[in-house]
Amino acid sequence: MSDIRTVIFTADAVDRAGSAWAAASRGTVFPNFTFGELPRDHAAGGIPAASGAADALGLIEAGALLVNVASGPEGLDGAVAALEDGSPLRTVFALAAPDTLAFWGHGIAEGVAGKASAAHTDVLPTLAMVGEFLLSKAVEGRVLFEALRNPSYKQGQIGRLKAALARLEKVMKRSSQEPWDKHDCA
Amino acid sequence: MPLARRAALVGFDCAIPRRLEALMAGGELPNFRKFTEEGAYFTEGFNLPTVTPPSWATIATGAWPRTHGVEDYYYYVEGRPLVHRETVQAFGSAVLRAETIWDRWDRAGLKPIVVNYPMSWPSSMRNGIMVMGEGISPAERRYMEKGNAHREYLAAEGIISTEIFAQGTRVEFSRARGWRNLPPGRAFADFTARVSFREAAVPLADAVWHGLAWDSGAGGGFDRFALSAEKDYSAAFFTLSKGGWSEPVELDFATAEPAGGPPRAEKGVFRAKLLEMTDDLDAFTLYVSGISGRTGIVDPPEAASAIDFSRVITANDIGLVSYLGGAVGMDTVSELAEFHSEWILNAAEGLLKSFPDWDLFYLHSHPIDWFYHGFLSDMESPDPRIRNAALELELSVYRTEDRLLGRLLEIFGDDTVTCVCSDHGATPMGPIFNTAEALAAKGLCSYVRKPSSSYWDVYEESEGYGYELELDRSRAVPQKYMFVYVNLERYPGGIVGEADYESTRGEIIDALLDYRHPETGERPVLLAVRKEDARVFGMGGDQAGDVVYALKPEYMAEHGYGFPTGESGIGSLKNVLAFRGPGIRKGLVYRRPRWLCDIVPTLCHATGNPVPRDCEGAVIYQIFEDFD
Repeated sequence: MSDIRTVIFTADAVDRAGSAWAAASRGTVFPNFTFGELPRDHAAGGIPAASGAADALGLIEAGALLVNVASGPEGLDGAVAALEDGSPLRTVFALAAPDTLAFWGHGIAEGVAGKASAAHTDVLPTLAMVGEFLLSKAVEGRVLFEALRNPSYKQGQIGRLKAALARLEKVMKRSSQEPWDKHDCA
Repeated sequence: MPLARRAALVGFDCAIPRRLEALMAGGELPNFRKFTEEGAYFTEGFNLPTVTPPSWATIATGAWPRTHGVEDYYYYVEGRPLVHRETVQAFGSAVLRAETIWDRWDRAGLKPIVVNYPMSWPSSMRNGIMVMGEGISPAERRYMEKGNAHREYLAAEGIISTEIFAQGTRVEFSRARGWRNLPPGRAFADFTARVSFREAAVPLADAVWHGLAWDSGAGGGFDRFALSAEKDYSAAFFTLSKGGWSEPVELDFATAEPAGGPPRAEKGVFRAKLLEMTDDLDAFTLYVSGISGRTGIVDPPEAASAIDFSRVITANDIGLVSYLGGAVGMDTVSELAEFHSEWILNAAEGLLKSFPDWDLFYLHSHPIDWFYHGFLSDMESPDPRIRNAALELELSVYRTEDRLLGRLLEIFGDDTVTCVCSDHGATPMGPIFNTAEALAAKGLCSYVRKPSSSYWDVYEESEGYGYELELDRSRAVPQKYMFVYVNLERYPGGIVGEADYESTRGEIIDALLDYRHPETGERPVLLAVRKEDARVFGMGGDQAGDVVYALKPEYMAEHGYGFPTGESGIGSLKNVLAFRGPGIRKGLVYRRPRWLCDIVPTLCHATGNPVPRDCEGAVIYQIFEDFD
């Protein structure tokens, strides 16, 4: 399976008429959200911090990408558009602003208004249910299951990897048969 | 006075008489039923060894394996070490030392047509026509290939997937860009895949194909897929929904010529099935059938113009290897069996109609054998879902072969004596008999675990996986299915002097007969004799080992190890044998054992045509209305 990328946008404000909000609201939105400190303290070493849309595209291959947009709603619209357009299909996005938390993209439920109250500490644990990045032991938040298309997504991925491993083992076994092994005329 | 103007043989590899009878008794298989009711049907079809190449060689020559020179699925090449892995597959005419019926009739100025017959290619006929049979599927070659390796015209099946498959090309979807003539849809994603073509008899250059997936708006996310050689939907090979097969796609495939040589285009045909496509493209798997070519597989080449290859695929092994590798399901196997049969019928029909003056027709079809290798043991599963699925697939495959038979009989007409047969039967998997283990227990051979630095190697001691024979410490070498060789000094790595040959042979026979299987506590070996004693039952020629042995049927793996009288569970190692046509008694059930070497003399007798030089079988007089 290909890698799943994660992109997290943080901003001071979101224009509800802008393109960033249009993209984000296609997924799951949590109206009852508390935005505190930026979640950088909870990031594992594999999550680079980036500033400015100009550098963001170059860092997309590194895994989870944190994009702090300081240039206002128009800057956010531009950053979201640029990264959405340039990212592979299997990318999950999150947008956290003082009055806004939204998830969209790969593995996220569409058109959902989350009923749970959400905190900034919930962003990474929720994204980790779909994305492929490390969490540190300092994580304190919870998973916002309402945002997930399939709460057992990771288990499904593990199952598919196990199936792939079993397929490869069968092929390798068949290629090293002795005359007393099973023969299949094929 | 000949009874029939011409003769035909239609061979269904591994068809089991008791299974055929059960299906016919259940009202199925109208063409097989009609054939046996209007002709002579044998309940005791015998052949030894119960293996594909020697059996079809006997059916073609009327000679015993000791005479025609093929005694196993594999063939020992003189001068190589004795270890089994150095043997090659025993297919094609190069290994045959006996004259075939088609060569003899061709010499007499008659016109044989031979289609997909395992021991036939290359042809040496002057009047006759042949479609490549140097393996078990049409348009493949196995001679001089080791293990299960084979080369196809043009290439083997493959998978294009987001998942990991051994035979797969992995892809990743991105948002689609740069496409022309997109179909109506709400969201588009694409991939670009560099596809390599495996097991190609003529190396093919990689192809770059573009996949396009889109949401058609039917309400379920991504639900349509197209594959194309360029980013232009109007040029797509096909459009599929999940579970759907494409129509046959005919393309030019570029060959990958050696350095300095100009590439050329080979026409090939394939089909694809969209096995999986989730609505978010999280998982996508496309099965691409083998690429079926048309040049170099018909002799004489100009006869190929009688066959329209553009709408059929060979579907080599009906997807069995892909099924065993977890890539396709049983439904796909059933569908590929149909496609395989279509190819064979298409070739046969094209030639029979274009050359109506034919005198002899020989054809082999393999789907039943592939089915039993994959599913015979499942037919006795205690789990009814597994058991019933296997039984349903068995019926599906036999129905496919029944339709093939019916169509061929229509074409043959009433002035043809026809033989329908199989080469052997099959029995369900039993405890595996590890010959090396039996020999090692008496100090006759030595094995070590296969040296490997690979994390992925799988070792299973009791099944003989992952061992390397230590030739310099082994006086006995198991090889092929029924043989043990004395590792004489004249072989590379050999350690036994000529003076010790007989005593070592005696030890080998004792070791085989004394061995008790660790799972059952019983002796699995039915018989172990000197090579020269095996001549009594038709073996013991140059390709036989110094000791020939057979297993009890409950210890076998489908077929290859035991006597034709072997029966175990739902299976039987007997072969199907039946004749029908002018002068053949109708409704005769023949209950005495008859051997496959009796087919050729019987066909020659029925037509008054010459007998091949090395024929050793007997005419089955009792099937004729007037055998006096």
